[in-house]
Amino acid sequence: MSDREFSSNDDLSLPKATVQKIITEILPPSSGQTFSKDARDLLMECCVEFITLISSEANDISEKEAKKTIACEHVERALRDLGFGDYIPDVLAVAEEHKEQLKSREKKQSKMEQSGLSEEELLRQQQELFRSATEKYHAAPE
Amino acid sequence: MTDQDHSYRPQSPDFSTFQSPISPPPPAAAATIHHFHHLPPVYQFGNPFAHRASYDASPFFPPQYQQPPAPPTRVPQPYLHLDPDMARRSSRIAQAAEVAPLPPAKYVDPVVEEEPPEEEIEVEEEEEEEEPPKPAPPAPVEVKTKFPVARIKRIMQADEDVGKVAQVTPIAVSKALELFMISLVTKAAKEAKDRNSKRVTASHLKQAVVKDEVLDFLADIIAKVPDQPAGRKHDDDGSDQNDQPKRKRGGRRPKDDSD
Repeated sequence: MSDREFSSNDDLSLPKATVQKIITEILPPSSGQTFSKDARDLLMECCVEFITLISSEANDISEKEAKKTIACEHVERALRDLGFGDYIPDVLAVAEEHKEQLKSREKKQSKMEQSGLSEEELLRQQQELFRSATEKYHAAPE
Repeated sequence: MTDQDHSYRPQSPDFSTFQSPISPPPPAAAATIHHFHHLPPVYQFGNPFAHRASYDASPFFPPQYQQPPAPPTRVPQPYLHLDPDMARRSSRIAQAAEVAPLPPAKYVDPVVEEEPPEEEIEVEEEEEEEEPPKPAPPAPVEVKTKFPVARIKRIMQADEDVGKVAQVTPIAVSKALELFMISLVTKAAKEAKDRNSKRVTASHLKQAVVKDEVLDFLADIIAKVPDQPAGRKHDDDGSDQNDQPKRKRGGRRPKDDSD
């Protein structure tokens, strides 16, 4: 197990390229400032520490509620408790958007019901499409 | 011509007196023979063209005997008077004219390929440029690049105590992390600016962290960073080299003290 911990050490940091990209988005070349490599590495460590902090705090909160799974509201509370309350609105917005995405995914499965048409009507439309396709086919010069 | 020569000379025996069982080819057969001129000519029995004709007429070969496969140089051409394309087309048209009525169809919902909803994202993500599994929605923030959600989840669960995590949770944490990074980078950049440095270094980041009480949890990480790196390659903040004492938390530094 300890063996694995060492080998997976790399996985437990953030991808460098992604971090660098985000840094340049925050500090674009037009700002005239560059972010040094050692600063970036330090920043990455800080980020991992931040994740650990938030998740362990959220974990404590969820345990206090006798919940087995860390949910979004636990993260929300952890952020507030740790002094990052101003992040909450954006975080909740993203979480909400994700939930919406999930919902729309489910909806897609019942496309037939979603169309609001009866089976006869759908069948008629399908036949209509077949007919027009046949006509198009015959009308083709070749 | 010597006698010797004479003995070796191929002689065509005179079989003319023999009664051939094969009747001489009729003129029509002779005409067809010209089609076989690609075959190596075999002259036998005095009649130069009798060979093929003899096959055709032989009682041992059925009359429908087909000529042996042609050498590859000659592609046998079907002598069809009908353009095959034309034939195909016309048959198709004929078919189309009598389209059989479709059997009573039931409406079938077109099948949409959809990956099964995953409960937990356990994708092994290897390289750095990867996108998060779910394309993050456009956020009204300046940062468009997103962290890989799977990685965030793994980091979260690296803590032994942390158990299950809801699907949204890493996404929420990822957003929080993004905001955290923005604030940290901006603060570090400000520190650098205050020191007239165009290059944001680790020590600038340290200054930023030290100033902010909320960032206390980073104290251990920050501790190993020297306040003033000894050998600086980019000495572009020369104006305040001796102006960087150890800053304790809360020590506010006026923005423009060097000017």
